[in-house]
Amino acid sequence: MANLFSAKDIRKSYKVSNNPLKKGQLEVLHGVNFSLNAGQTLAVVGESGSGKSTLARILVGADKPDSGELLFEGNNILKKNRKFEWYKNIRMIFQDASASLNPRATIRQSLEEPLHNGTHYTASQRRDRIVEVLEMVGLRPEYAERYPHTFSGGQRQRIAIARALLLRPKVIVADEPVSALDVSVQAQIINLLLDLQDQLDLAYVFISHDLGLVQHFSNKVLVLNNGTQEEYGRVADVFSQPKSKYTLELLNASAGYQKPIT
Amino acid sequence: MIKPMVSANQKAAWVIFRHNKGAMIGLIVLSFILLMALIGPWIAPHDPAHQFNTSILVPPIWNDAGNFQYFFGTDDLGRDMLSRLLYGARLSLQLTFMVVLIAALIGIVIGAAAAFINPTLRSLLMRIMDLLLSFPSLLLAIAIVAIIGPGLPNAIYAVVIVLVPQFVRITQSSISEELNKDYVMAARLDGAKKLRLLTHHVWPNIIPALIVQLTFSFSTALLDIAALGFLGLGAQPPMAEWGTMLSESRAFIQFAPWTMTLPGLAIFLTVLSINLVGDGVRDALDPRLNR
Repeated sequence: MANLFSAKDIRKSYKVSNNPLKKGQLEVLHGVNFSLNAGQTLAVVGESGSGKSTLARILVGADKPDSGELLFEGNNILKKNRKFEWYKNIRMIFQDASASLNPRATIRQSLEEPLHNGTHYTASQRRDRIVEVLEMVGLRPEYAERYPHTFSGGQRQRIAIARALLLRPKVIVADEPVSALDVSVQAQIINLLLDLQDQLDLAYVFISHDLGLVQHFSNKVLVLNNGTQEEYGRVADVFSQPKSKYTLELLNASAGYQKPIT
Repeated sequence: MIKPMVSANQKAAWVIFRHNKGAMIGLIVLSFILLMALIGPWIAPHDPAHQFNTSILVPPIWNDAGNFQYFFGTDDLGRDMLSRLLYGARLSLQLTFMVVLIAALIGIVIGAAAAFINPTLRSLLMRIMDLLLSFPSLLLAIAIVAIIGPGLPNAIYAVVIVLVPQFVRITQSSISEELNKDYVMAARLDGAKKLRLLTHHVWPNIIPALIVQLTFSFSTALLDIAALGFLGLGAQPPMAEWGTMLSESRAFIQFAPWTMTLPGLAIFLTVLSINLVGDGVRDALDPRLNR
């Protein structure tokens, strides 16, 4: 089966200092590989500082990798002229929904932005599409006229999901989309994401440190340790028979994860 | 598309401002001064330059020797103080408005450009701005006037040059700060180009900072223009300008104190009320309080 979205040997390093006299690179990702099909979820797990968020930023085009390939439907989207296709098909949900919404723009204004830049819709088509996605994420269309600070955390994350869905993407990269929410709201958002995946055949790249959630949510898992890909495979395989010591430690340290009965 | 000042935030800001007593008093005094400057030529009893040879140094109305014809008295050349003060308000405020607007326009354009150019060039530009900012504003204005020569137009250029770096710095730093926020990244991933990011996303969020800077620049400009006038480097004598009036009357402070006190009081009240309003605006728009 042809893969929808895959990464080959993605590497990234940052300059340690802006001082041109001091040389030094901090390597954040030492070669990450994965592949993903439509309707599947890949979880990326690891401790803080393991490079999870950097990977997410690279996948959506917010950051450039130093080397490697990102293939979307067989094309390397890192090549320059593919930017448009990239932004349309691979969308991001940020960890902090309130920070990702412009505080001085209404929800409508924020939702208009991707449609304005990514489609040739007329004003009324844009309006209709916004109503449609707001309903998809369980919000009332009249909320569009309000400002972000008038919503709760869960509602804001729904708005962020609506924004990601507007352009009918095939892949959604979610960087810890529920870690800032309380538990009952987390469950609602996770269920919403699962429903949307069923309806729209979306592929998710799900960045998380909650292994219990990952077990429930994902098909594949990629374990990152200090930028090194420790393990990659089906969730059931990796969690029941971890090959690396690091994965085992991570599993033992995790509270939410339920060990399969052997 | 995005209106620069949104109604919800605006209302909240006004509520905070209204409860700030100092700021409200400042606003009332400032409105009164602005009104006087606007209608000055119509309510002034005399021509500000006309010399009444028979009524030299008449004291103001509250003095026993005062005279209803000259409400605030006359100066050493027999010119009516009230009329001169009214025309002076007009001149001072006009100049200040002009200077601040020009400086803001130049400063904001340079500052916005600086936020987007390459880091090395930006460092160089900002260090030049820091150099200009490191001089006390009046000292720098005097130095510039000393180089290009005294006179009102040159004084205006000097004050503009003094004010520009403040606008460059505030614009550049607020834009750079906003550019690092998630919502800008989100807009970039929505496909917004650089110019659109600036005008539609970042700009509405830096307007509060710019408004605060505008009010403080206003008082600096007013004071510097008056100071240059006082030192004889700005507006030249027959002109009814507060700083110049102050300097002309220096010799009479002992036996005709009103000639010096009144223009001084006018400058003091105007600067004080602008600063009070500025403080109020800053508190009302402070994002930390606005949440």
